[in-house]
Amino acid sequence: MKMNFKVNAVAKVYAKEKCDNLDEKRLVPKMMLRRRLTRSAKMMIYLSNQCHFGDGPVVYGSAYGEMQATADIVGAIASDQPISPTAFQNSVYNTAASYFSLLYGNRHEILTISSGNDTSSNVLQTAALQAMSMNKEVLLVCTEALNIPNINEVNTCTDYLEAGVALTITPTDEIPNITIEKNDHAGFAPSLWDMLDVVDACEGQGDPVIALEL
Amino acid sequence: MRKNRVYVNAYESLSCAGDTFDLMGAVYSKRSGIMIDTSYMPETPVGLGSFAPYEFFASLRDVTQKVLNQSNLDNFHNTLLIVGSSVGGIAQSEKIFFQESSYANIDPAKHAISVISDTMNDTFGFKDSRSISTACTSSANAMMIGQRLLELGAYENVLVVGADALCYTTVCGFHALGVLSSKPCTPFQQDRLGMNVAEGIAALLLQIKPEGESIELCGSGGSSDAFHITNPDPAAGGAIACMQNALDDAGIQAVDIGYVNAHGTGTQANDAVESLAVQTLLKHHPFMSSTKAITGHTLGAAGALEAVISCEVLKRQKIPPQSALKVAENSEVNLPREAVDATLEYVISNSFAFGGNNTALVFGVVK
Repeated sequence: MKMNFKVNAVAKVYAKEKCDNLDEKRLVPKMMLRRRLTRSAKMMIYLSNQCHFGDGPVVYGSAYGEMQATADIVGAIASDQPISPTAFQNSVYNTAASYFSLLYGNRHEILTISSGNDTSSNVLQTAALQAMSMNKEVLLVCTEALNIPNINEVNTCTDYLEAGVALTITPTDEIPNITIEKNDHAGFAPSLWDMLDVVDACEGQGDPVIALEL
Repeated sequence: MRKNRVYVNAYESLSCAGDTFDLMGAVYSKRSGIMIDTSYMPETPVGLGSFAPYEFFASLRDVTQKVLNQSNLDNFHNTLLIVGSSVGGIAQSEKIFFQESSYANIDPAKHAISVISDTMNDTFGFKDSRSISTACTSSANAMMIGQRLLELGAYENVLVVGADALCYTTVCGFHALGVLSSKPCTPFQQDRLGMNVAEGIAALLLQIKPEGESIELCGSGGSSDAFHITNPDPAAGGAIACMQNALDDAGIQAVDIGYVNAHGTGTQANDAVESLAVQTLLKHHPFMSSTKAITGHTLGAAGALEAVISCEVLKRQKIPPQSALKVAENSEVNLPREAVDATLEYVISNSFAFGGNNTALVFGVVK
Protein backbone atom coordinates (compact mmCIF):
# COMPACT_ATOMS: atom_id res chain seq x y z
CA MET A 1 0.00 0.00 0.00
CA LYS A 2 1.50 3.31 -1.09
CA MET A 3 0.69 6.76 0.31
CA ASN A 4 1.94 10.21 -0.58
CA PHE A 5 4.04 12.42 1.68
CA LYS A 6 5.54 15.87 1.58
CA VAL A 7 9.22 15.88 2.39
CA ASN A 8 9.68 18.97 4.54
CA ALA A 9 13.41 18.80 5.24
CA VAL A 10 16.38 16.56 4.56
CA ALA A 11 19.87 16.30 6.06
CA LYS A 12 22.87 14.02 6.13
CA VAL A 13 26.24 13.93 7.83
CA TYR A 14 29.17 11.58 7.38
CA ALA A 15 32.88 11.19 7.92
CA LYS A 16 35.48 8.51 7.34
CA GLU A 17 36.21 8.39 11.05
CA LYS A 18 34.45 11.03 13.17
CA CYS A 19 31.99 13.79 12.30
CA ASP A 20 33.70 16.87 13.71
CA ASN A 21 31.08 19.55 13.42
CA LEU A 22 27.96 18.27 15.17
CA ASP A 23 27.47 21.57 17.00
CA GLU A 24 26.84 19.78 20.28
CA LYS A 25 27.88 22.62 22.60
CA ARG A 26 25.18 24.87 21.17
CA LEU A 27 22.57 22.15 20.73
CA VAL A 28 23.14 20.50 24.12
CA PRO A 29 24.11 23.31 26.49
CA LYS A 30 23.90 21.16 29.63
CA MET A 31 27.33 19.62 30.05
CA MET A 32 26.10 16.69 32.17
CA LEU A 33 23.77 15.60 29.42
CA ARG A 34 26.22 16.36 26.62
CA ARG A 35 29.01 14.23 28.07
CA ARG A 36 26.71 11.20 28.30
CA LEU A 37 25.64 11.33 24.65
CA THR A 38 26.73 8.56 22.32
CA ARG A 39 28.07 9.33 18.86
CA SER A 40 24.75 8.28 17.33
CA ALA A 41 22.88 10.52 19.76
CA LYS A 42 25.06 13.48 18.75
CA MET A 43 24.43 12.76 15.07
CA MET A 44 20.71 12.42 15.70
CA ILE A 45 20.50 15.73 17.57
CA TYR A 46 22.50 17.46 14.84
CA LEU A 47 20.38 16.00 12.05
CA SER A 48 17.08 16.78 13.78
CA ASN A 49 18.24 20.36 14.21
CA GLN A 50 19.13 20.53 10.53
CA CYS A 51 15.55 19.36 9.85
CA HIS A 52 14.14 21.98 12.30
CA PHE A 53 12.36 19.24 14.25
CA GLY A 54 12.12 19.01 18.03
CA ASP A 55 8.63 17.86 18.90
CA GLY A 56 6.62 15.03 17.34
CA PRO A 57 6.73 11.32 16.57
CA VAL A 58 10.11 9.86 15.62
CA VAL A 59 11.23 6.73 13.81
CA TYR A 60 14.93 6.06 14.30
CA GLY A 61 16.98 3.26 12.75
CA SER A 62 20.35 1.61 13.14
CA ALA A 63 21.48 -1.82 12.00
CA TYR A 64 24.18 -2.20 14.62
CA GLY A 65 23.07 0.10 17.41
CA GLU A 66 25.41 1.48 20.01
CA MET A 67 28.65 -0.29 19.09
CA GLN A 68 30.96 1.61 21.45
CA ALA A 69 28.80 1.01 24.52
CA THR A 70 28.40 -2.66 23.63
CA ALA A 71 32.16 -3.04 23.06
CA ASP A 72 32.87 -1.33 26.40
CA ILE A 73 30.55 -3.73 28.24
CA VAL A 74 31.83 -6.90 26.60
CA GLY A 75 35.42 -5.73 27.05
CA ALA A 76 34.84 -5.05 30.74
CA ILE A 77 33.28 -8.48 31.29
CA ALA A 78 36.12 -10.20 29.41
CA SER A 79 38.70 -8.50 31.61
CA ASP A 80 36.80 -8.91 34.89
CA GLN A 81 36.36 -5.17 35.22
CA PRO A 82 33.19 -3.48 36.53
CA ILE A 83 30.70 -2.38 33.89
CA SER A 84 29.98 1.32 33.65
CA PRO A 85 26.27 1.89 34.37
CA THR A 86 26.37 4.65 31.75
CA ALA A 87 27.71 2.19 29.17
CA PHE A 88 24.83 -0.17 29.90
CA GLN A 89 22.25 2.62 29.82
CA ASN A 90 23.70 3.70 26.47
CA SER A 91 23.81 0.21 24.95
CA VAL A 92 20.18 -0.18 23.89
CA TYR A 93 19.25 0.51 20.28
CA ASN A 94 16.87 3.35 21.18
CA THR A 95 19.56 5.32 23.06
CA ALA A 96 20.03 8.03 20.42
CA ALA A 97 16.32 8.65 20.03
CA SER A 98 15.86 8.66 23.81
CA TYR A 99 18.49 11.36 24.33
CA PHE A 100 16.76 13.36 21.59
CA SER A 101 13.46 13.09 23.50
CA LEU A 102 15.17 14.07 26.78
CA LEU A 103 16.81 17.11 25.20
CA TYR A 104 13.63 18.49 23.68
CA GLY A 105 11.07 17.19 26.19
CA ASN A 106 9.50 15.22 23.34
CA ARG A 107 6.76 12.96 24.77
CA HIS A 108 5.53 11.53 21.46
CA GLU A 109 5.89 7.93 20.28
CA ILE A 110 9.46 7.01 19.39
CA LEU A 111 10.22 3.78 17.54
CA THR A 112 13.57 2.23 16.69
CA ILE A 113 14.03 -0.06 13.71
CA SER A 114 16.96 -2.45 13.33
CA SER A 115 16.49 -4.56 10.21
CA GLY A 116 20.04 -5.11 8.99
CA ASN A 117 20.60 -3.79 5.47
CA ASP A 118 16.87 -3.04 5.20
CA THR A 119 16.92 -0.72 8.20
CA SER A 120 16.38 2.60 6.42
CA SER A 121 13.86 1.03 4.03
CA ASN A 122 11.88 -0.14 7.08
CA VAL A 123 12.29 3.26 8.75
CA LEU A 124 10.67 4.84 5.68
CA GLN A 125 7.80 2.32 5.79
CA THR A 126 7.25 2.62 9.53
CA ALA A 127 7.42 6.41 9.49
CA ALA A 128 4.89 6.44 6.65
CA LEU A 129 2.59 4.32 8.80
CA GLN A 130 3.08 6.55 11.83
CA ALA A 131 2.46 9.71 9.80
CA MET A 132 -0.72 8.20 8.34
CA SER A 133 -1.97 6.85 11.69
CA MET A 134 -1.43 10.14 13.53
CA ASN A 135 -1.75 12.59 10.62
CA LYS A 136 1.37 14.35 11.89
CA GLU A 137 4.81 15.32 10.74
CA VAL A 138 7.28 12.53 11.57
CA LEU A 139 11.06 12.72 11.91
CA LEU A 140 13.05 9.87 10.36
CA VAL A 141 16.69 9.39 11.33
CA CYS A 142 19.14 6.60 10.54
CA THR A 143 22.68 6.53 11.89
CA GLU A 144 25.59 4.12 12.07
CA ALA A 145 28.51 4.81 14.40
CA LEU A 146 31.08 2.11 13.70
CA ASN A 147 34.26 3.94 14.63
CA ILE A 148 35.35 1.74 17.53
CA PRO A 149 38.81 0.28 18.15
CA ASN A 150 39.51 -2.82 16.02
CA ILE A 151 36.39 -2.40 13.88
CA ASN A 152 38.51 -3.29 10.87
CA GLU A 153 38.51 -6.88 12.13
CA VAL A 154 34.90 -7.13 10.94
CA ASN A 155 34.31 -4.12 8.67
CA THR A 156 34.86 -4.96 5.03
CA CYS A 157 32.57 -2.57 3.16
CA THR A 158 32.01 0.67 5.09
CA ASP A 159 34.35 3.62 4.47
CA TYR A 160 32.26 6.17 6.34
CA LEU A 161 32.42 4.85 9.89
CA GLU A 162 30.13 7.63 11.10
CA ALA A 163 27.14 8.49 8.98
CA GLY A 164 23.59 9.64 9.48
CA VAL A 165 20.66 10.66 7.33
CA ALA A 166 17.35 12.34 8.24
CA LEU A 167 14.16 13.74 6.79
CA THR A 168 10.73 14.83 7.94
CA ILE A 169 7.51 13.80 6.21
CA THR A 170 3.85 14.83 6.37
CA PRO A 171 0.91 12.99 4.76
CA THR A 172 -0.52 14.75 1.71
CA ASP A 173 -3.11 14.29 -1.04
CA GLU A 174 -0.75 15.90 -3.55
CA ILE A 175 0.61 13.83 -6.43
CA PRO A 176 4.28 12.74 -6.14
CA ASN A 177 6.67 14.96 -8.10
CA ILE A 178 9.84 13.05 -7.27
CA THR A 179 10.66 9.50 -8.26
CA ILE A 180 12.97 7.64 -5.92
CA GLU A 181 15.51 5.42 -7.64
CA LYS A 182 17.67 2.88 -5.91
CA ASN A 183 21.34 3.78 -6.11
CA ASP A 184 24.62 2.34 -4.93
CA HIS A 185 26.02 4.42 -2.09
CA ALA A 186 29.39 2.75 -1.99
CA GLY A 187 31.29 3.42 1.21
CA PHE A 188 28.15 3.94 3.29
CA ALA A 189 26.65 1.22 5.46
CA PRO A 190 23.90 -0.44 3.36
CA SER A 191 21.46 0.14 6.24
CA LEU A 192 21.43 3.84 5.23
CA TRP A 193 21.03 3.44 1.47
CA ASP A 194 17.27 3.69 1.06
CA MET A 195 17.04 6.92 3.04
CA LEU A 196 20.06 8.29 1.21
CA ASP A 197 18.14 7.63 -2.04
CA VAL A 198 15.26 9.78 -0.75
CA VAL A 199 17.45 12.54 0.67
CA ASP A 200 19.56 12.79 -2.48
CA ALA A 201 16.45 12.90 -4.68
CA CYS A 202 14.74 15.59 -2.57
CA GLU A 203 17.73 17.78 -1.71
CA GLY A 204 17.42 21.18 -3.38
CA GLN A 205 13.94 20.47 -4.78
CA GLY A 206 11.12 22.99 -4.22
CA ASP A 207 8.29 21.12 -2.53
CA PRO A 208 9.09 17.45 -2.93
CA VAL A 209 6.25 14.96 -2.69
CA ILE A 210 7.07 11.25 -2.69
CA ALA A 211 5.16 7.98 -2.49
CA LEU A 212 6.11 5.55 0.28
CA GLU A 213 5.04 1.98 0.98
CA LEU A 214 3.52 1.43 4.42
CA MET B 1 -10.99 5.95 6.56
CA ARG B 2 -12.77 2.87 7.93
CA LYS B 3 -10.28 0.73 9.82
CA ASN B 4 -10.14 -3.06 9.96
CA ARG B 5 -10.50 -4.72 13.32
CA VAL B 6 -7.51 -6.79 14.40
CA TYR B 7 -7.61 -10.23 15.99
CA VAL B 8 -5.05 -12.44 17.68
CA ASN B 9 -5.86 -15.77 16.04
CA ALA B 10 -2.99 -18.00 17.14
CA TYR B 11 -0.06 -17.79 19.53
CA GLU B 12 2.59 -19.77 21.37
CA SER B 13 5.40 -18.98 23.75
CA LEU B 14 8.38 -20.40 25.54
CA SER B 15 9.81 -19.06 28.77
CA CYS B 16 11.41 -20.40 31.92
CA ALA B 17 7.89 -21.42 32.93
CA GLY B 18 7.53 -23.63 29.84
CA ASP B 19 5.21 -23.34 26.84
CA THR B 20 1.97 -21.36 27.01
CA PHE B 21 -0.02 -24.20 28.58
CA ASP B 22 2.58 -24.78 31.30
CA LEU B 23 3.09 -21.04 31.74
CA MET B 24 -0.56 -20.43 32.54
CA GLY B 25 -0.54 -23.34 35.00
CA ALA B 26 2.46 -21.74 36.69
CA VAL B 27 0.85 -18.28 36.65
CA TYR B 28 -2.36 -19.44 38.34
CA SER B 29 -0.59 -21.68 40.87
CA LYS B 30 2.08 -19.01 41.63
CA ARG B 31 4.95 -21.31 40.60
CA SER B 32 7.93 -19.21 39.53
CA GLY B 33 10.24 -20.45 36.78
CA ILE B 34 13.14 -18.42 38.13
CA MET B 35 16.26 -20.27 39.30
CA ILE B 36 19.18 -18.93 41.32
CA ASP B 37 22.23 -18.76 39.09
CA THR B 38 25.96 -18.28 39.73
CA SER B 39 27.26 -19.07 36.24
CA TYR B 40 27.07 -15.49 34.99
CA MET B 41 28.56 -13.87 38.07
CA PRO B 42 30.15 -16.52 40.35
CA GLU B 43 30.43 -14.13 43.31
CA THR B 44 26.88 -12.84 42.97
CA PRO B 45 23.91 -15.21 42.93
CA VAL B 46 21.05 -13.81 40.85
CA GLY B 47 17.59 -15.06 39.95
CA LEU B 48 17.44 -15.78 36.20
CA GLY B 49 14.87 -17.31 33.87
CA SER B 50 16.18 -19.84 31.36
CA PHE B 51 14.47 -22.35 29.08
CA ALA B 52 17.63 -24.49 28.83
CA PRO B 53 18.28 -27.14 27.58
CA TYR B 54 16.26 -25.85 24.63
CA GLU B 55 18.47 -23.88 22.22
CA PHE B 56 17.34 -20.33 21.41
CA PHE B 57 17.18 -20.38 17.60
CA ALA B 58 15.78 -23.93 17.43
CA SER B 59 13.12 -22.82 19.92
CA LEU B 60 12.37 -19.75 17.82
CA ARG B 61 11.59 -21.99 14.84
CA ASP B 62 9.64 -24.43 17.01
CA VAL B 63 7.42 -21.75 18.58
CA THR B 64 6.75 -20.22 15.15
CA GLN B 65 5.92 -23.62 13.61
CA LYS B 66 3.40 -24.22 16.42
CA VAL B 67 1.68 -20.92 15.62
CA LEU B 68 1.55 -21.87 11.94
CA ASN B 69 0.05 -25.25 12.88
CA GLN B 70 -2.66 -23.53 14.97
CA SER B 71 -3.48 -21.02 12.25
CA ASN B 72 -5.66 -21.08 9.15
CA LEU B 73 -2.55 -20.56 6.99
CA ASP B 74 -0.62 -23.16 4.98
CA ASN B 75 2.53 -21.08 5.17
CA PHE B 76 3.75 -17.57 5.98
CA HIS B 77 4.41 -16.50 2.38
CA ASN B 78 1.69 -13.84 2.56
CA THR B 79 2.55 -12.73 6.11
CA LEU B 80 4.58 -9.80 7.37
CA LEU B 81 6.97 -10.72 10.18
CA ILE B 82 7.59 -8.06 12.82
CA VAL B 83 10.24 -8.98 15.37
CA GLY B 84 10.75 -7.23 18.68
CA SER B 85 14.09 -7.87 20.35
CA SER B 86 16.48 -5.90 22.51
CA VAL B 87 19.68 -7.95 22.12
CA GLY B 88 19.37 -9.92 18.85
CA GLY B 89 22.42 -12.14 18.40
CA ILE B 90 24.70 -10.62 21.00
CA ALA B 91 24.90 -13.86 23.01
CA GLN B 92 26.77 -15.46 20.08
CA SER B 93 29.06 -12.46 19.62
CA GLU B 94 29.94 -12.38 23.31
CA LYS B 95 30.83 -16.06 23.28
CA ILE B 96 33.25 -15.58 20.37
CA PHE B 97 34.79 -12.46 21.89
CA PHE B 98 35.26 -14.06 25.32
CA GLN B 99 37.04 -17.04 23.70
CA GLU B 100 39.16 -15.15 21.18
CA SER B 101 39.50 -11.56 22.52
CA SER B 102 38.89 -10.45 18.95
CA TYR B 103 35.99 -9.46 16.72
CA ALA B 104 37.52 -11.22 13.68
CA ASN B 105 35.21 -14.24 13.74
CA ILE B 106 32.05 -12.35 14.67
CA ASP B 107 29.62 -12.23 11.75
CA PRO B 108 27.98 -8.76 11.91
CA ALA B 109 24.77 -10.18 10.44
CA LYS B 110 24.56 -12.70 13.27
CA HIS B 111 25.30 -10.05 15.90
CA ALA B 112 22.52 -7.69 14.83
CA ILE B 113 18.88 -7.65 15.93
CA SER B 114 17.97 -8.80 12.41
CA VAL B 115 19.53 -12.23 12.96
CA ILE B 116 16.14 -13.26 14.38
CA SER B 117 14.14 -12.26 11.30
CA ASP B 118 16.88 -13.65 9.02
CA THR B 119 16.67 -17.01 10.80
CA MET B 120 12.89 -17.07 10.53
CA ASN B 121 12.89 -15.96 6.90
CA ASP B 122 15.30 -18.77 6.03
CA THR B 123 12.89 -21.28 7.57
CA PHE B 124 9.46 -19.89 6.75
CA GLY B 125 9.88 -17.45 3.82
CA PHE B 126 7.81 -14.50 5.04
CA LYS B 127 6.43 -11.97 2.55
CA ASP B 128 8.36 -9.20 4.26
CA SER B 129 9.89 -8.52 7.64
CA ARG B 130 11.04 -5.73 9.90
CA SER B 131 12.58 -5.59 13.36
CA ILE B 132 11.93 -3.20 16.22
CA SER B 133 14.38 -2.65 19.06
CA THR B 134 13.19 -0.28 21.74
CA ALA B 135 14.65 -2.26 24.66
CA CYS B 136 11.90 -3.69 26.89
CA THR B 137 9.02 -2.33 24.78
CA SER B 138 10.35 -3.91 21.56
CA SER B 139 7.69 -6.55 21.01
CA ALA B 140 4.87 -4.43 22.47
CA ASN B 141 5.76 -1.87 19.81
CA ALA B 142 5.85 -4.68 17.24
CA MET B 143 2.25 -5.49 18.25
CA MET B 144 1.29 -1.82 17.92
CA ILE B 145 2.80 -1.51 14.44
CA GLY B 146 1.22 -4.79 13.38
CA GLN B 147 -2.18 -3.56 14.55
CA ARG B 148 -1.87 -0.28 12.64
CA LEU B 149 -0.74 -1.97 9.41
CA LEU B 150 -3.68 -4.38 9.53
CA GLU B 151 -6.14 -1.63 10.40
CA LEU B 152 -5.13 0.27 7.26
CA GLY B 153 -5.18 -2.87 5.13
CA ALA B 154 -1.48 -2.82 4.26
CA TYR B 155 -1.19 -6.56 5.02
CA GLU B 156 -3.57 -9.48 5.53
CA ASN B 157 -1.51 -11.32 8.13
CA VAL B 158 1.13 -10.15 10.57
CA LEU B 159 3.20 -12.46 12.75
CA VAL B 160 4.64 -10.63 15.75
CA VAL B 161 7.57 -12.35 17.43
CA GLY B 162 9.18 -11.18 20.65
CA ALA B 163 12.47 -12.93 21.32
CA ASP B 164 15.45 -12.34 23.58
CA ALA B 165 18.13 -14.75 24.79
CA LEU B 166 20.03 -14.57 28.05
CA CYS B 167 23.44 -12.96 27.65
CA TYR B 168 26.24 -11.57 29.80
CA THR B 169 25.67 -8.03 28.55
CA THR B 170 22.17 -7.80 30.00
CA VAL B 171 22.72 -9.86 33.16
CA CYS B 172 25.93 -8.04 34.12
CA GLY B 173 24.57 -4.71 32.84
CA PHE B 174 21.48 -4.80 35.04
CA HIS B 175 23.74 -5.87 37.91
CA ALA B 176 25.81 -2.73 37.29
CA LEU B 177 22.62 -0.71 37.69
CA GLY B 178 22.02 -2.43 41.03
CA VAL B 179 18.55 -3.68 40.13
CA LEU B 180 18.97 -7.49 40.04
CA SER B 181 17.31 -9.64 42.67
CA SER B 182 19.18 -12.56 44.20
CA LYS B 183 15.83 -14.33 44.60
CA PRO B 184 12.71 -14.78 42.45
CA CYS B 185 11.37 -11.25 42.06
CA THR B 186 8.43 -9.95 44.08
CA PRO B 187 6.71 -7.23 42.04
CA PHE B 188 4.83 -4.56 44.02
CA GLN B 189 6.03 -6.01 47.35
CA GLN B 190 6.99 -3.38 49.92
CA ASP B 191 10.56 -4.62 50.45
CA ARG B 192 11.22 -5.98 46.93
CA LEU B 193 14.81 -6.71 45.91
CA GLY B 194 14.71 -6.06 42.18
CA MET B 195 14.20 -7.86 38.90
CA ASN B 196 15.12 -11.20 37.27
CA VAL B 197 16.53 -11.18 33.74
CA ALA B 198 15.08 -14.02 31.67
CA GLU B 199 14.94 -15.35 28.14
CA GLY B 200 11.70 -15.72 26.28
CA ILE B 201 10.06 -16.22 22.91
CA ALA B 202 6.45 -15.42 22.03
CA ALA B 203 4.75 -15.37 18.65
CA LEU B 204 1.25 -14.07 17.86
CA LEU B 205 -0.57 -14.17 14.53
CA LEU B 206 -2.63 -11.00 13.92
CA GLN B 207 -5.34 -11.06 11.24
CA ILE B 208 -8.32 -8.95 10.21
CA LYS B 209 -10.92 -11.72 10.53
CA PRO B 210 -11.59 -13.69 13.72
CA GLU B 211 -10.97 -17.44 13.70
CA GLY B 212 -12.28 -19.78 16.37
CA GLU B 213 -11.19 -18.58 19.80
CA SER B 214 -9.89 -15.19 18.72
CA ILE B 215 -9.07 -12.31 21.03
CA GLU B 216 -9.29 -8.78 19.68
CA LEU B 217 -6.32 -6.42 19.80
CA CYS B 218 -8.54 -3.42 20.40
CA GLY B 219 -6.04 -0.64 20.87
CA SER B 220 -2.48 0.40 21.46
CA GLY B 221 -0.71 3.54 22.54
CA GLY B 222 2.80 4.78 23.04
CA SER B 223 4.50 7.71 24.72
CA SER B 224 7.89 8.96 25.84
CA ASP B 225 8.74 10.09 29.37
CA ALA B 226 11.39 12.62 28.26
CA PHE B 227 12.61 12.37 31.86
CA HIS B 228 15.70 10.14 32.28
CA ILE B 229 17.61 7.60 30.20
CA THR B 230 16.69 4.71 32.53
CA ASN B 231 14.55 5.92 35.43
CA PRO B 232 10.83 6.42 34.87
CA ASP B 233 9.16 9.77 35.41
CA PRO B 234 8.17 9.65 39.11
CA ALA B 235 4.98 11.57 38.30
CA ALA B 236 4.08 8.68 35.95
CA GLY B 237 3.20 11.05 33.13
CA GLY B 238 4.53 8.79 30.38
CA ALA B 239 2.95 5.64 31.79
CA ILE B 240 -0.43 7.34 32.14
CA ALA B 241 -0.17 8.83 28.65
CA CYS B 242 0.48 5.52 26.90
CA MET B 243 -2.37 3.80 28.76
CA GLN B 244 -4.74 6.67 27.95
CA ASN B 245 -3.64 6.57 24.30
CA ALA B 246 -4.35 2.84 24.17
CA LEU B 247 -7.79 3.31 25.75
CA ASP B 248 -8.58 6.09 23.25
CA ASP B 249 -7.40 3.93 20.38
CA ALA B 250 -9.62 1.09 21.58
CA GLY B 251 -12.56 3.47 21.95
CA ILE B 252 -13.24 2.43 25.53
CA GLN B 253 -13.27 4.10 28.93
CA ALA B 254 -10.86 3.44 31.80
CA VAL B 255 -13.71 1.82 33.75
CA ASP B 256 -14.01 -0.88 31.06
CA ILE B 257 -10.63 -2.39 31.99
CA GLY B 258 -11.03 -5.47 34.18
CA TYR B 259 -7.40 -6.50 34.55
CA VAL B 260 -3.99 -4.85 34.20
CA ASN B 261 -1.14 -7.13 33.18
CA ALA B 262 1.52 -4.90 34.67
CA HIS B 263 5.04 -4.31 33.44
CA GLY B 264 5.88 -4.96 37.12
CA THR B 265 9.58 -5.71 36.93
CA GLY B 266 10.11 -5.82 40.69
CA THR B 267 12.46 -2.81 40.70
CA GLN B 268 11.82 -0.02 43.16
CA ALA B 269 11.38 2.63 40.50
CA ASN B 270 9.19 0.79 38.00
CA ASP B 271 6.68 -0.67 40.42
CA ALA B 272 6.16 2.56 42.35
CA VAL B 273 5.59 4.57 39.18
CA GLU B 274 3.37 1.96 37.51
CA SER B 275 1.24 1.68 40.66
CA LEU B 276 0.84 5.45 40.67
CA ALA B 277 -0.14 5.41 36.98
CA VAL B 278 -2.77 2.71 37.48
CA GLN B 279 -4.08 4.33 40.67
CA THR B 280 -4.38 7.67 38.87
CA LEU B 281 -5.91 6.53 35.59
CA LEU B 282 -7.93 3.46 36.56
CA LYS B 283 -9.82 4.81 39.55
CA HIS B 284 -12.23 1.84 39.67
CA HIS B 285 -9.45 -0.40 41.11
CA PRO B 286 -9.27 -3.14 38.49
CA PHE B 287 -7.24 -6.22 39.35
CA MET B 288 -3.56 -5.92 38.54
CA SER B 289 -0.65 -8.36 38.67
CA SER B 290 2.78 -8.82 37.20
CA THR B 291 3.46 -12.23 35.69
CA LYS B 292 7.19 -11.42 35.69
CA ALA B 293 7.15 -13.05 39.13
CA ILE B 294 6.72 -16.29 37.15
CA THR B 295 8.59 -15.62 33.88
CA GLY B 296 11.18 -13.05 34.95
CA HIS B 297 11.74 -10.05 32.71
CA THR B 298 12.18 -11.31 29.17
CA LEU B 299 13.22 -7.80 28.02
CA GLY B 300 12.37 -7.30 24.34
CA ALA B 301 10.16 -10.41 24.37
CA ALA B 302 8.13 -9.26 27.37
CA GLY B 303 5.46 -7.33 25.47
CA ALA B 304 4.66 -10.31 23.24
CA LEU B 305 4.88 -12.85 26.07
CA GLU B 306 2.50 -10.77 28.19
CA ALA B 307 0.22 -10.31 25.19
CA VAL B 308 -0.06 -14.11 25.11
CA ILE B 309 -0.85 -14.13 28.84
CA SER B 310 -3.43 -11.36 28.37
CA CYS B 311 -5.17 -13.39 25.64
CA GLU B 312 -5.20 -16.45 27.90
CA VAL B 313 -6.65 -14.43 30.78
CA LEU B 314 -9.50 -13.26 28.55
CA LYS B 315 -10.17 -16.77 27.24
CA ARG B 316 -10.12 -18.31 30.71
CA GLN B 317 -11.92 -15.36 32.37
CA LYS B 318 -9.58 -15.79 35.28
CA ILE B 319 -7.33 -13.15 36.85
CA PRO B 320 -3.74 -14.19 37.61
CA PRO B 321 -2.71 -13.70 41.23
CA GLN B 322 0.23 -11.54 42.21
CA SER B 323 2.70 -14.27 42.99
CA ALA B 324 5.03 -13.85 45.98
CA LEU B 325 3.16 -10.83 47.35
CA LYS B 326 3.07 -10.44 51.14
CA VAL B 327 2.75 -6.72 51.85
CA ALA B 328 2.00 -4.41 48.96
CA GLU B 329 3.87 -1.13 48.78
CA ASN B 330 0.84 0.72 47.43
CA SER B 331 -2.47 -0.33 48.98
CA GLU B 332 -4.42 1.71 46.38
CA VAL B 333 -3.84 -0.88 43.65
CA ASN B 334 -5.83 -4.10 43.62
CA LEU B 335 -3.32 -6.97 43.69
CA PRO B 336 -5.12 -10.32 44.10
CA ARG B 337 -3.36 -12.85 46.33
CA GLU B 338 -5.12 -15.76 44.62
CA ALA B 339 -6.55 -16.39 41.14
CA VAL B 340 -9.98 -14.78 40.72
CA ASP B 341 -12.78 -15.92 38.42
CA ALA B 342 -14.16 -12.82 36.76
CA THR B 343 -16.26 -11.51 33.89
CA LEU B 344 -13.67 -9.73 31.79
CA GLU B 345 -14.20 -7.72 28.63
CA TYR B 346 -10.91 -5.83 28.38
CA VAL B 347 -7.37 -6.28 29.62
CA ILE B 348 -4.56 -3.75 29.36
CA SER B 349 -0.92 -4.85 29.18
CA ASN B 350 1.85 -2.37 29.97
CA SER B 351 5.44 -2.30 28.78
CA PHE B 352 8.02 0.31 29.77
CA ALA B 353 11.63 0.61 28.63
CA PHE B 354 14.95 2.42 28.90
CA GLY B 355 14.78 5.88 27.43
CA GLY B 356 11.30 6.37 28.85
CA ASN B 357 9.72 4.42 26.00
CA ASN B 358 6.20 3.34 27.01
CA THR B 359 3.61 1.15 25.26
CA ALA B 360 0.23 -0.17 26.35
CA LEU B 361 -1.92 -2.73 24.54
CA VAL B 362 -5.66 -3.27 25.07
CA PHE B 363 -7.10 -6.72 24.39
CA GLY B 364 -10.79 -7.62 24.44
CA VAL B 365 -13.19 -10.50 24.01
CA VAL B 366 -14.62 -10.63 20.48
CA LYS B 367 -18.08 -9.04 20.26
